Amino acid sequence: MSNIVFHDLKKIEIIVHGDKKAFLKDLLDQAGATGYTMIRDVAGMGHSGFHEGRLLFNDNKSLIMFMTVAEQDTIEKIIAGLTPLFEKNSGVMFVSDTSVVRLEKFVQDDDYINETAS
Amino acid sequence: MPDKAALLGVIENAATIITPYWPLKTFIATNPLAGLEEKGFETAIESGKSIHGGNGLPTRAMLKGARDKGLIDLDIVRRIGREQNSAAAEILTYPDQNDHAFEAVKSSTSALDTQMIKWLSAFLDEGQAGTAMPYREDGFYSAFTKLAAHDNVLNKNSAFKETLKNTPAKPLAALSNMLAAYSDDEKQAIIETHLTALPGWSGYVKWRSQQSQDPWQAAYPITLAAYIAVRFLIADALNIDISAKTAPVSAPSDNEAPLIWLKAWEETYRETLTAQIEQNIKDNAPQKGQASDTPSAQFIFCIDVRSEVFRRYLERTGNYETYGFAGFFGIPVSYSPFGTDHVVASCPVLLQPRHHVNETAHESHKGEAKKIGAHDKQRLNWKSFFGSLKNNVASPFALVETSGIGFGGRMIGRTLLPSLTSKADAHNDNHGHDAITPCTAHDDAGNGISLEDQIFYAEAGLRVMGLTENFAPLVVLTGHGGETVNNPYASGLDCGACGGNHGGANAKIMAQVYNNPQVRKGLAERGLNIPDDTYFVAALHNTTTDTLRLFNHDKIAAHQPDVLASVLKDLETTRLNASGERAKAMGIQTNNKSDSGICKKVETRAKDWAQVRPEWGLARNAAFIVGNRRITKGLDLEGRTFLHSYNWQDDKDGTALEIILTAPMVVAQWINSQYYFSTVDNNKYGSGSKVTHNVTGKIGVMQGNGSDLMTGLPLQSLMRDDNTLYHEPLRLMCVVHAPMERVSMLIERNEILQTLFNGDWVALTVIDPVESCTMRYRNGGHWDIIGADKQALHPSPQKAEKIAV
Repeated sequence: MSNIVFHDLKKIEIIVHGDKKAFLKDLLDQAGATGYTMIRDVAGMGHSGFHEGRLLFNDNKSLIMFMTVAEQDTIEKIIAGLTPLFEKNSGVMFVSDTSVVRLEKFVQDDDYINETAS
Repeated sequence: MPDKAALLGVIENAATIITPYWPLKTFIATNPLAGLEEKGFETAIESGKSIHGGNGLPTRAMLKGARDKGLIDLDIVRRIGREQNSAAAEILTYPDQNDHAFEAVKSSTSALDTQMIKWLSAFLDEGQAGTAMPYREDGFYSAFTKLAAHDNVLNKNSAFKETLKNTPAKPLAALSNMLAAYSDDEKQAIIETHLTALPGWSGYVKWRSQQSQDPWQAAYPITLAAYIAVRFLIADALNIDISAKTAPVSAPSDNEAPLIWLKAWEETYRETLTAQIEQNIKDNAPQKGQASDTPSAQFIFCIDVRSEVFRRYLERTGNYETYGFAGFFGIPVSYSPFGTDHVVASCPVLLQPRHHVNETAHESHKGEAKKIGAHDKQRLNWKSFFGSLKNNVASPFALVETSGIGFGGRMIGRTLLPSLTSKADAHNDNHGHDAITPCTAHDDAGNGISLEDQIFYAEAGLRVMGLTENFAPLVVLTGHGGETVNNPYASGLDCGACGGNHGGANAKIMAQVYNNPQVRKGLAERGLNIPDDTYFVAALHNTTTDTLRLFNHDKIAAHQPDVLASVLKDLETTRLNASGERAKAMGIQTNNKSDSGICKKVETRAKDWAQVRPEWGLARNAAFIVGNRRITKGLDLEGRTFLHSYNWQDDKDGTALEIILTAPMVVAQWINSQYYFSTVDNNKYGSGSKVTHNVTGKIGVMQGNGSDLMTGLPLQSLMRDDNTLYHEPLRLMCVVHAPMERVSMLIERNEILQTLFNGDWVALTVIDPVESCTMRYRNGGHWDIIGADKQALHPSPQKAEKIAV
């Protein structure tokens, strides 16, 4: 067991309305996140009251949670993209320290915003 | 590089101001001011004026026309005027001053817009152009930077080639440099201005950039960042300052009088409708101890306003019950039509398809299906071969020489004898073929729907529409679609709940699900007992010709031999009656007094390639009614109401009502808003006359050879003639038959409902069966009892809690 090496990384969890899903996917991709977990139809209490988990026929207004783990500078890019968004739209983000064992799964080779050419 | 990421966020914010525009193949109705909805109607129309230069209220001529037809009650005008302390005399004479209702659509004039349109239509072409733009696979921005040096308008600026050479390879990086001098707010304002300069094109790019699965987007990607970066490069070449305000700015308008008249027009309709429903509820109240009679058949129609006419006549012919439910029957699915690998997303655009179903040949019809497949393949091959000959630079002359006579004959035939020629041409709608069946069972490749999900959707559908007992021996799931030829707006006549497609495929899928014995067993475990002898069958309601085509007669005959013959006879009677009503609405002159003569005339419209108005579509839509059919049965609602079935007694926690209000009602409001704004300002929010439409890239229409993409409805869908409105521009009224406290609770927990009801986009009336009164929702959560005894009610928190448990 002593051979296991923990690598320190950051984790970000983001909760937004479903109509921001395409933007979030794009932002995470372009900021250099190597992957993410997406949980659809999350429920909870916030400034606008209790939000039910599942609006059966409306994905746009259901809440959706993204979670990704990456190096600090990638997380900073994600936060930079979310900051203007949250000034005009509802949503929350949480950043925390975390550790991973297989570092190569979470880090991209190039330190750049992985912008698509289009 | 966080500044580039921040720029992405700024672009996302700026883009909320534009409404995504779906391409013609899935023409989806939207509110052109959807991005401004949170401001509320009155502020949004003012912003719409300053951003788009669009008028948001009916013109004097429209109000005058409505008043002269008796559609606006003058007492209500006076009443609303008094409530708002307006000068009565001035208000009353408002419609009599002259103004011009409709002007010719002006095409875009700015040089920057013209260049954008040129580049966008070349890049976004989906197979209409004979020669495709090179480098499209690199994306819009890259393709532009590689080719723009050859543009003889742009390269007149001698510095432009140098600019192109030095511009970063990626659009965000380029934008980041171009906007470096501005704050985030300034950046957003500049981007908004440039997005709203051509809201149709930018709306299309907004839609397309979010469709990672779309084959055209996957092959030739475009993003809003690329759109703006290219626009700024063109502005640079034309020496246009990007921070200069280009959007039209106008002084705040005096909306007092037209708003009062609009409200009076709406109230005239709403008060009449409310009184009719209240009376109907009293008249149709079930007697105590009265056992409900099992109907011969139950028909489940789409909520679409066009279903109402058919349902009304069908119910008169026999012992039938009809229900209204979103026409995708609750299944978020995509499917591949038989013999193709083409994927059709057949669910509302609010949803992503969660399942994929392939169509296959039915065991007992293999031979027939094979023929259909071979014929389809042959037709598609021939179509593509002919298309390539037609569009090739070298071949059109030879094509005309060799086949001109044949095509000339066909053209004459289509013009003079449309119904005969189109029979030979018959649009091959495979869902109509009994030989084709969906594979709903889950397979190893992940296609199909798992049993658990089948049970889930089957239960959700029945509970939402309140069909939980007293099943008829035959239950017909009726999808719908329009029929038209040579019409770029064809999909606008199809089922919106099926993403602008015919609804037959979904009906077939769900009929198979409901007939699955394992699904029936699962439903029984959940308390929904469908009798063994109840058989579900799919059908397609043709909204242009009033025909309802039942699929798989052989199967119905095997399960319900007694019912089939009478149903078919009654469907024919219904068709004759519905076509008679249609003939009046469309002004179809018929010398032949026989019913079949009327049907023939109606049918000819569907097949006439010169027909600009095959049917009226959803024109005159004005209300969305949620409740048991009992509350509206027998009323002539004139094809103006969306009808969603709902049984308040079966929905104690409000789950079903929440689904209805947050999805079908939202979509109804999109449709209603599109009709409203296309009518009040057809130049800015509609799409002008069909006569001068020019389809571009197979994705949208322009006016003339270069304009913004026209996103709204054409004049012919809204007006009888140049000066007479057919559609009445009224905002949606929503009538809910349920306890007020339940509705209050749902408004409180859904922002979308607060936006629509508090913002005066939708007027909410609740007919409360518990309190036995009718109430109107007012901004901020107050309720007024409608009628003589006007008083404000507030929901009691204790009661609301009880309902929520």
